[in-house]
Amino acid sequence: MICFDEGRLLAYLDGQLSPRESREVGAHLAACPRCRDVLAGLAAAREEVGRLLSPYHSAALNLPVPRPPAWPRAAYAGAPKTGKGVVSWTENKKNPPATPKKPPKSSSK
Amino acid sequence: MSQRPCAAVLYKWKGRERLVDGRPETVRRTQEFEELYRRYYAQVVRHLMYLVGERTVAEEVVQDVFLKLYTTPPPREENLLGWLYLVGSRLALNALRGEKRRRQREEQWVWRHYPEVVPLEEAAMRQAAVQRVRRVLESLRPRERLALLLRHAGFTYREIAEALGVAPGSVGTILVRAQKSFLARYRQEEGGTEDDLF
Ligand SMILES: [Zn+2]
Repeated sequence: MICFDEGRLLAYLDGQLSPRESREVGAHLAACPRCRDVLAGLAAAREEVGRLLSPYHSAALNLPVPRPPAWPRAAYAGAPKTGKGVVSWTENKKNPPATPKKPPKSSSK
Repeated sequence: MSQRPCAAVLYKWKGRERLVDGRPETVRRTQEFEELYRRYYAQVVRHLMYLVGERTVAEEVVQDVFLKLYTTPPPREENLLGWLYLVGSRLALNALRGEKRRRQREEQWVWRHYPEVVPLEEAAMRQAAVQRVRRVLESLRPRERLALLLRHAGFTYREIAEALGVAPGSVGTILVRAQKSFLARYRQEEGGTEDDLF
């Protein structure tokens, strides 16, 4: 009987295997106490890491972020002059503002 | 045109000023870009803060993320935020691997003994438990740190592989090692000096 390595078992726990692989690992686990032990150890570690990371994660997610600094216009100069990848994600507005807004003076910073 | 609020319009340009909606194309392009920059900036900064643990680094990296959006945007409109997170994760990994950061890690003991050297973060990030986790993460290899944090944030192995530049099949192995070193370092921190105040 060939056992699975730890990486594969963790992927199984994380639900990251294909359905077919997952069935294979499941069938093997049912028959192999050694892999069940390894799996239990991985599951405990995974659970503990998750518990410890949670407060850190929510602290980061709840950080107040100041308004973005004015985009450094100098960066535009470095943009390619030709190319295909110009993408607009904004909705195709029927009535765009007639006059483009003046960019703020670049005296900030 | 789809009805999604963020529908994409892909069009070609040749470096010539072309009028689109009565405006020079570069003006239009710039305005659209800046709208996206304002809309997504905060979310991307928070994601980067989470990954690198420091506001200053996050604010540096976020500029590179949006520069990349400007110069080489993704081909499709789908999940722009996901794309920004992925690009951000890759750039965060580079930042964590950078020379400056390596020096910081080596000089970490300075932080412990002279807490005032640490730049002040928001109250939430100063909590002792959060600070301990932050120090443990700081001691991990950048790749393991990122793999753990991305998985915790709900990224798939495939996405983690893409962010780390490794084969999807190796993510499980990286995470196994990452879990082990994280917990080992955490126990060390726990056993460390009790008056380790931040
Ligand atoms: Zn087995």
